[in-house]
Parts: sequence; structure tokens; C-alpha cells
Amino acid sequence: MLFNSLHFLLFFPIFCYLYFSVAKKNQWKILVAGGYYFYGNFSPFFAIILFVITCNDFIAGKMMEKASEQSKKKKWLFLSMAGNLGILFTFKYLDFADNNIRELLAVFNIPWFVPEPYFNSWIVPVGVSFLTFQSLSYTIDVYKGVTKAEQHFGYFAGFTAFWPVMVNGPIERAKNLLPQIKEEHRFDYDRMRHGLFRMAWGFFKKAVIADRLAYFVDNMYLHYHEISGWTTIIGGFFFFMQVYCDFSGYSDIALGAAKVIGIDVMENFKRPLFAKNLADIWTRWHISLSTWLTDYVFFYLGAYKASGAKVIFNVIFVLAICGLWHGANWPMVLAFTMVGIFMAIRYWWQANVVRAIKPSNTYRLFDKYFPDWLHSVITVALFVFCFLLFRVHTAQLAYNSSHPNAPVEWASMAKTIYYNLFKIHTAGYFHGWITHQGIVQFCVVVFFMLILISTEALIGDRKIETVVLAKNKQQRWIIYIILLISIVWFGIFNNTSFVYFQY
Amino acid sequence: MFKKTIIHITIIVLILFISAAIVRFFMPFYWGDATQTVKYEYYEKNAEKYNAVYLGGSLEYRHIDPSIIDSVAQKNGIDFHSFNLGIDGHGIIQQLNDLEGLLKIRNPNLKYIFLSISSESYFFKANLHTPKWISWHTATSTYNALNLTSTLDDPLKFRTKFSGFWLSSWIENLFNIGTVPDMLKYKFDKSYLDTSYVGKNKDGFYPYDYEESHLFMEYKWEDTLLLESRHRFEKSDPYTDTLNKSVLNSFTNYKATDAPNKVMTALYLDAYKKCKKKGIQVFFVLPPKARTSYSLLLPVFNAMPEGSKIELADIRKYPKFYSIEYGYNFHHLNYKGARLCSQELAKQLIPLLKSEENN
Repeated sequence: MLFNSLHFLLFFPIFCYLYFSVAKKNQWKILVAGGYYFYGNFSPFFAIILFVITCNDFIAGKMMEKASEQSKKKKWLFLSMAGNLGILFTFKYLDFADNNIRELLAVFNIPWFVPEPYFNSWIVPVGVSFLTFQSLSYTIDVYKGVTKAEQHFGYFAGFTAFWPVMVNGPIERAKNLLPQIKEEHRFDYDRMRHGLFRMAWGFFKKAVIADRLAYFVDNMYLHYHEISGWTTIIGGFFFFMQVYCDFSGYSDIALGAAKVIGIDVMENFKRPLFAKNLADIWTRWHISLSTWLTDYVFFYLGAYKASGAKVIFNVIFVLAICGLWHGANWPMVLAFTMVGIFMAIRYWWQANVVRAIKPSNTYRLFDKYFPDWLHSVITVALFVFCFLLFRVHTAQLAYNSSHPNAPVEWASMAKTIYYNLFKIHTAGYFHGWITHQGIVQFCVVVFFMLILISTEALIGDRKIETVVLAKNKQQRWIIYIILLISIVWFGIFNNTSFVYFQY
Repeated sequence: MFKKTIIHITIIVLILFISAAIVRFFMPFYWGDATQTVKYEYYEKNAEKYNAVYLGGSLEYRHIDPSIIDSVAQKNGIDFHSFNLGIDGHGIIQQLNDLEGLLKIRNPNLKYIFLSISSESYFFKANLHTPKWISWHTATSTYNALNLTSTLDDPLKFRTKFSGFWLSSWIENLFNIGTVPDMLKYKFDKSYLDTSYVGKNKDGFYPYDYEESHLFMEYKWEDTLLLESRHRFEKSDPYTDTLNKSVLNSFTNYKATDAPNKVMTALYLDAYKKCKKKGIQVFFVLPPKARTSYSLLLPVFNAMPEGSKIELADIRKYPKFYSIEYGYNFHHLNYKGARLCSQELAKQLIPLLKSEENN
């Protein structure tokens, strides 16, 4: 079920009504039923996969706690990981692996026994990466002793089937979510106000900005061979904003919906546009994944404790893993690896150069007159530069389906896009790109992006709903009405799914 | 607390409803569809030049050439200047809505309106959620659509689904859901409007043959669909025979005692009476190649007042309309077919106009 659908508009109040009507001991049942209905609505097969993941990790968790020896615990952890990662690999990465093996063997003229194409028709369960990572974090935490194994299957099923976050994050941790699921939740008017406002803010980002930006981004990639430098720069920024608004919009709706039913979920975005460097963006963008990878991969590799070269490798490796998590294709892996390389360069620069020159007056002067906003602009520019690759795989598929007689390779497409980036002096496909939907659509999207950026600048690190609901009644109502009118009048409601659903 | 929540939601809904109505007040009824905008704006500017107007869908827009009919009428000494206001995809409900709008456009010379009897209340689903589809819905049109849909012979599930579409489209229009950027576009950036929609002779007629070379259609998929059906049709797809047999069966099996659909008949008769009161004569056209079964359309057509009916659909009388030579695709004529259709329409119209003048 999509959050931006009529179906959800009906589902949510009915769910809330049932959830608050039943006794505490039965609330988990409504949560589980709602979760399976929500997820099974995409396909009943997906609900079966969810059930398998739940059983696998529930049993593994219990057995780990029972096991007295570390080796046995390890075996159960391995089983849980094999189950989760096996599901993830089978549905998401098998086709990618198959294609790469085929291409590699073809270099040596060795035939590959799997007929082509074989796995690409397999449907990837929506949000399978989120589901498996959330569930996996539970067993790893039980193994580490951070969390106690859940003894009640129903509560655990409520944790894996917690519908606000299950298909698009945030990837919640058991130690935060499970205790809240066990608590009694009664209707709370104030929580509802906070939750609904946060949901509305999410819908605004998704329906008004992200889906409108999609027109421009899709068109830019479709005309990738004729775009000018300015189109690539602005289009790249638009794509960055599209993904940000789409994904953080979903997170806002998820957070808001969870808040309404009395559960606090972790923040997933903290104004990434205002990050001062790429390491900072890593702590502000898709926080639940970056903390997951930091906790379970980066620290496992030794984090910053290792030697300089090892740290640089760790950073790039974790970012490459992050890319692979996002998509089973090379452009995505490369996009995040590039971010990793920039982060590693910064780490090296900080560790070797800045440390040496920091006490000097020149550095102090430079630091004083190099404003924060310029740091942010450079950071976003670097991120956008890497993000141009993020979209190449899907753009290549779209381009090839509309140009079946002249298909293009992703590498060639990426090369052309990066080459076009430097064609600042030519007009190319710029005016046509801005006006292909009419100049009004361009003005509307720029206007609302400015509203979003200025709002984020104004509220700082505070939560939007806290800021708005602290205002007096008149101001609050004016904001409610303006926000709702913006969503209703300017939103795009043709059931477009969320960008991150594919991950 | 629950009561307070309900009150707040009601206030918000009311504010949204009123503000949406205020914005819509400044828009003409045809703003959502580029073709319609171009044709109606042209007509509004030149309304007094015309005393006759054709309403309907593509079966009128692409088939009726006003220049042919005007010249035949004028040769017969009848003062007749017509304009084609047919718009692709406009079925019975939208056509009646167009009529409401048309009557509000000042034209003291308007004497004749042609309405098409060619569709029920179903529509092309791909148009859902587009301004082209949702911008014109009113309480009356929704009521009429629901009422008509409930009387059709299709399975309940199908009718319920379409009734839901009608309702949701009306709600979308009531609150301007997602339509305001297009309204702004209409007000401030008319570069998207292509005057070719008015036709080569500036009379609102534009056959599909021209469309193919110009391809100015609003949506890419329409071009694709159009060309796909054209290619299938040209290759003598067996579907042509199926359609033709169905048309033949409808006409051969028709009995004068066949009861017409009551709602559909009432809607057309109401329109007839309304125009009559304003001194406008309505002619009902039964066009060839309709998507809707003639078993439904024929009894309704025959229930219309005598002296107001123009029948062009009977495959036994007009076999050429159903041939590949005169067709563009399964449900449309090519330019050659459109010219023949216009000549046949003129042939039937002249005696009706003469008797009208005598009366």
C-alpha cells in the first residue's frame, strides 16, 4: 500500500480506530494484522516472505539467548544472517550476480549454464532491504547482548511488521521499537496533532516537490546526449532534491503515523542540505542506514582505530556496501564509492594537512572568512556530482525502452552526462528542458523548493511539528491551511511510488 | 476529544472547499483540455459568425467537415454557417456539460446544435487524475453519470468501479486536487496551446490523417495508441469483422418495440427542450463506428423527436463507413470517410432544415 494513495487514506483512520479501541493485550494483534494487510496489499507473496523473516529471526534470537556457549550463539547468528541475506540476495542480487558472471565468463569464452535472461523476471519484494536489515539488527543486537531476545512471538511479529517503517524505513532497532510495542497506547490528542502535522509535511515534500521534480529529472536523463552543462548542474540538483524530498517525505509520514499511534521512531534525515562536509552528510542523510552500517560494518572493520590507510579503505568499503544496498547495479555502487572516496580524501586532508596548519594564522583567517553556507554549497555540489550516477541505471532502462533500436550502455551514458557537465558555454537542451512541462511547472517547483529550504534554515535542528505547534492558535491555523492548500492544489496524486521502494 | 477532532477536520474541509470554489470561479469550463480550450476560445471570439454547432467526441471532431455541410446548405439557399466543437473522448455526460457551457457563450445567431448519440457513461481510464478529465465535473454531471451507469447492462463490479471513478473525479474537482499548476499554466503561459486544433479551415474539423503527420496530441501515449490501432486496422485485423458483425446484428435485430435506456433518453430530451426554449433546434446524430453498442444507442436515437434525427450508422445503408478504404482505425474514419460522412449528413440535414424553415 502506498502512503500517497486513497487506500491508505481509508486504512489509516480505520487502523487507528481499531488500535485504540482494543485492550492493551490485544493491541499487538491489530499491529500485526495491519502490518500484514499493509504489506500483503502489494502482493500476498510478500507477506509470506515477511512471515519467513519473522520466524527465522525470532527462533534465532531465542536460541541465541538459550545458548550458553559463544560458538552456538555464533551459529544461530550465522543462521539468521544466512536467512536474511539469503532472501535479500535471492530476490535482489541474483540477477545482478548472474549477469556479471555471464559477462566475466564471456571474456574467456566460457559458456554460462543459466539461460539469459533468467532471474530478471523475479519480482523484488517491496522494501526487502529495509525489512531484512531491521530484522537482522535484532539478531546482531541479541548476539552482542545489547537487546534481550523477545519471548513473545506476537510482539516480535509486531516489530517486523510495524507498517509505518517496514517498506521504506527508518530501519528501526529492536531496543527502541520493541519496548514501545509492548506498552499500552491510548488516543492522545496532542500526539495526534504532532503526528498528523508531520505526516502533512511529508506529503508536502513528496507530492508537491518530489513528484514534480521527477518530470524534470526524467526528461533530463531522457535527453542525456543533448543536455548542456547548466541543465546537468540544475538537473543534478533537482535529482538530489527529488530523492531527498521523496525519501525524507516518506520518513516524515512514517514518523507521523507512528507518533499518532503512540510510538516514537528514530529521525531519518536532519537537514542534509546544511551539511558542512561529506562526513557530516553521512550523519544527516538516511541516518538509520548510515548508523546501521556504522554500527554493524564500520565498527566491525575497526572504524578509526586502524592505521590511516585501513581507515581510508574502511570508509570507501562501507560506502560501496551502502551503494550495493541501494541497488544491484554498478552505477549505484560507483556513486556511493565516489562519495566514499571524497570522504576518505577529506579524512586524509584533516588528518595530515589541517592538523599541521591549524595553528597558523592563515588557516584561522581562512576558517573565519569561509562561511558555513559555502561549506554547505560545496558539500551539496560534491554529493550532487556523485548522485548523477545514482540515477543512471534506471535512466538507462527507461532510455532503452523508448529507444529500442539504439540502446545505450550505462557507462557510455554516465560518460556523456559527466562530459556534458562541463559544457557550460553551450545552450544545448536548456530552454527546452525548463519549458517542456510549461514554465509554470518550473516556477512552481522552484518556489516550493525555496519554501522548503528556508523553512529548514529557520527551524534549525528542531522538529517541524514542535516549532509549528508551539505557535499561537491563529498562526497555527494559518500554517495548517497554507500547508494543506499547497498539498491539495499543487500535489501530484497519480499513485507514484516512492523512489526508495525499490531498495 | 473525538468531537473536537471532527470539528477541526470539518472546518479544514470547508475552508479547502470554499477556497477551491473561489479559484474555479475564475476559470472557464473548458480550461482543462488543450484542444477544447483552443476550439472554444476561437469559437467565443467568432461566435456570431456561426449559427450551427456540432457537439460530441472524436466521432464528430474527426468526422464532420463543416465546410462541406455549409456549402451544400448554402447551395440549397439555406443560411448555414457551422463550427465543429467536438472534442476527443467526450461522451454523453461531458457533451451535455459542453452544451451547458456553450449556451452561456453569447451568440444571438445560434440556431442549430447537433448532439451525438454515441456513448454511455464509461470513459477512457487513462484520463483519470488529469485536468482534461477532472476539470469539468459538477454535481449535476456526477449525478447524471451515476444515474446512467446504474442502469447499464454491464456487471455490477464494472459499474461500481466506474461509479467510483466518477465520484472521485468530482471530489478532485471540488477541491482542485492537483489542478492548480495547470490553472496557472492556462492563465499565464498559453504556449502549450496549438492552434492547429481548430483545423485547417478554422472550422473545428481535423481528421486523423492530418493528426498523423502533425502529431500535436497532448499525450504521447495517445499517438502510440492511435498508430497501433491504425496499423492493426490496415492489416485487416479480424477485430474489424467482429465489430462490423456486431453493428449489423444491432441494426437487424432492432425492433421498434425495444425499450430505450430511460436515463439516457431523458438526458437527451431535457437538452432538446432546454434548447427549444432558447429558440435553438437540436439535431441528434447517430454517427458510424461508435464504440458503444448500437443495441443501446439505436432505441435511444429512435426515441428522439421526429424531424431531429440524422442516422449515419447503419452498416446496411452505409457499408463504406465500415470498410478499410474509408476508415482510419477501428472506430474512426479517415479524411475520405469523413468527407463522405459529412456529405451524407448534409443530405439528410437539408430536408430537415427546409421543413424547419417552413414551420
